[in-house]
Amino acid sequence: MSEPSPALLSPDFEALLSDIAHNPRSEPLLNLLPATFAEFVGYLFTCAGYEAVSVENQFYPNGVGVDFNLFADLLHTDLLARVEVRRYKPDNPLSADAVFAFQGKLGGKHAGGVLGFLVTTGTFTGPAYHAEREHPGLATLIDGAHLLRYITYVHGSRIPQADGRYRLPRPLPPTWFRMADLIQRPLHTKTKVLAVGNNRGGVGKTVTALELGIGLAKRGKRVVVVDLDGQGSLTLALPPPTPAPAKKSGKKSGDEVLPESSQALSTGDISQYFASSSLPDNERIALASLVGATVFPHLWLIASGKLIQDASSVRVRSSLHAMDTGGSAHPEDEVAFVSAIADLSRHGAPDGTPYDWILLDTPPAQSRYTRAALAAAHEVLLCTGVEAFAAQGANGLLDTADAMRALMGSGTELIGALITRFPASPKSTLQDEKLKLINQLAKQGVPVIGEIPPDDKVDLTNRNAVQGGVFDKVKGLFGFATSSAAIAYGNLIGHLLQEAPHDDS
Amino acid sequence: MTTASTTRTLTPSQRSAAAVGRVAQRLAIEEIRALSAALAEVAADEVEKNTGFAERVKRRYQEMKAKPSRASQSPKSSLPKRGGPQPRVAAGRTPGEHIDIVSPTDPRTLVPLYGQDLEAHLEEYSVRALWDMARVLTPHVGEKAPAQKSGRAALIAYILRYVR
Repeated sequence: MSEPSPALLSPDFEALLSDIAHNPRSEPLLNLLPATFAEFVGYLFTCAGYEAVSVENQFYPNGVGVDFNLFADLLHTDLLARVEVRRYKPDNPLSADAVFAFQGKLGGKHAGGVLGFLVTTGTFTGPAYHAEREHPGLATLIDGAHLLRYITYVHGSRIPQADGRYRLPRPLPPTWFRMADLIQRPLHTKTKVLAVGNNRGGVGKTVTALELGIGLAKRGKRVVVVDLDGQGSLTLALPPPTPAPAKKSGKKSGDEVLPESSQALSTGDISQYFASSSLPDNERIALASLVGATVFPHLWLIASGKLIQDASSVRVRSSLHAMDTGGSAHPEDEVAFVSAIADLSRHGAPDGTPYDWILLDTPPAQSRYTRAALAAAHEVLLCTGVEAFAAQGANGLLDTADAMRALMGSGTELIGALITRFPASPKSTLQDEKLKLINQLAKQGVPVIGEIPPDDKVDLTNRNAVQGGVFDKVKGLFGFATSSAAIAYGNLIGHLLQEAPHDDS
Repeated sequence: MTTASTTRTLTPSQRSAAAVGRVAQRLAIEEIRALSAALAEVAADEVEKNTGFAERVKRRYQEMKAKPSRASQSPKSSLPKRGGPQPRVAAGRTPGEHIDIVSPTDPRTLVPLYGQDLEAHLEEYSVRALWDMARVLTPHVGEKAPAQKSGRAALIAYILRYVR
């Protein structure tokens, strides 16, 4: 093995973590001394929420010792796992013998053995994986590719604090990265899953999801829009075809009690799914059961909350905000949502036909739901205004996309950026900022695929819905023949359909 | 050199500024406002005397009138042309890159993006933004940036001199 680079003999682990997270590759790890590499992996597990304690020179009966133990608590009373690391080149895979030896150090599962992670920068042989399967749930093998994914995910899942430190997540086992490999997104050529996002609010995400949904449905596509924003604007803008008969809420256990003068216009919403997401697969609420019709043919909605009408208004009551864990990592939650979206795609629309599109409208700020959406989506459309905070929000979204791609092992692709509410005759400073934004997006490899001019009708659409009583009149922008924004969204839809591999229009 | 064919995507005012800038560069003139007035007066005199010149002006005017400027075009113009799927990029950060529209642009970073079209791209910025870019360059090149009042052409010439 070549001599390590002198520059990396005493590396700054945080800088190394950041470097690899942004540009995943094995070389910087292979350049470390074996002991330094073990220290780095210990640092990584610390960043992942564990208390990592080096075992140092303690000897275990079956060869080279375990490198460190992982605890859940500062007092080191709750041993969660043991870790052994090997800094090996890719052409030097770990064999089944190494796995058997490691399993021996963990103790038999039936004899109260602890979990273990055998981590290498290289690979494992086929028999090594067979040895892993012989004792399921005991030792998890983490090869170089999964190690890089784990680094990126952990790096992108820490919450920065005001003092410059990071709030550590609850322990994130690398096991999830192996499990995520078994989860498939919906078949891309059948149903396309598109998330609309930016961590900044007020940049037109919801209007974009709304107009894309309406526009695609008007072109004959079968679309379900999922409102992941607890504010419920999309839910308000896409009410059911006709107000449902008054549902006497509060009669069933678990239902919200509504005043006598109010009636619930919807029956299911996405918060019910997330409330059940920690349950076993067979007890989790299926997204298909939450799909409701809208006033538009071929366009369905999974509401963000309960749509409630009383004498004076229509509003959405959602528990999404209360359940939001922010930007903290919940890999089990994120992987489960990918499965749930795949199930929704397989189930198809309520009329029995498959969906062409599943559109995910994400909330502003770091959110549990944005993470889940970016894990599940084939593609992301970045909405942004020409203003500093929207640009910052775009950075945050791209960071989250990095972490979710690391979790799932395959990319959420960026379909491009949509510049919203940009006037036809901007002031020179605004034009300058737009040019800067386009250039900086280009440097990130992000093309600007559309520009939406400001249009009062965008607001009118929502206002009509909010005021209520217009359930058969919601037109979307496409109801306004002269709307410049509608023309721009129409062009964007043409672009999306042109790019859809399954679409022949 | 910027020509009519390379400025066709610009607005009329941007095309005007580009044309005046070309003349300013050729004649080594710094006072753009007076040069604009002088050009207009000489052109008006020439139109009266020279029918061929007058026809060229008229053709160019009709071409500009027929083709709306970028700023006044429908939003369709800002979308990519049909003609096959665009290459996709993995969603995520590019190492070392951070979207920031507040800090002045370092014009050296524009060269990989625009290459030979950089001059036309620079024409799209305000004089203030060009001045900001020139000031970013100054510490690296040893020549003081032109004053803001020296105008667009001088600032663009300064930037191009040091980024190419």
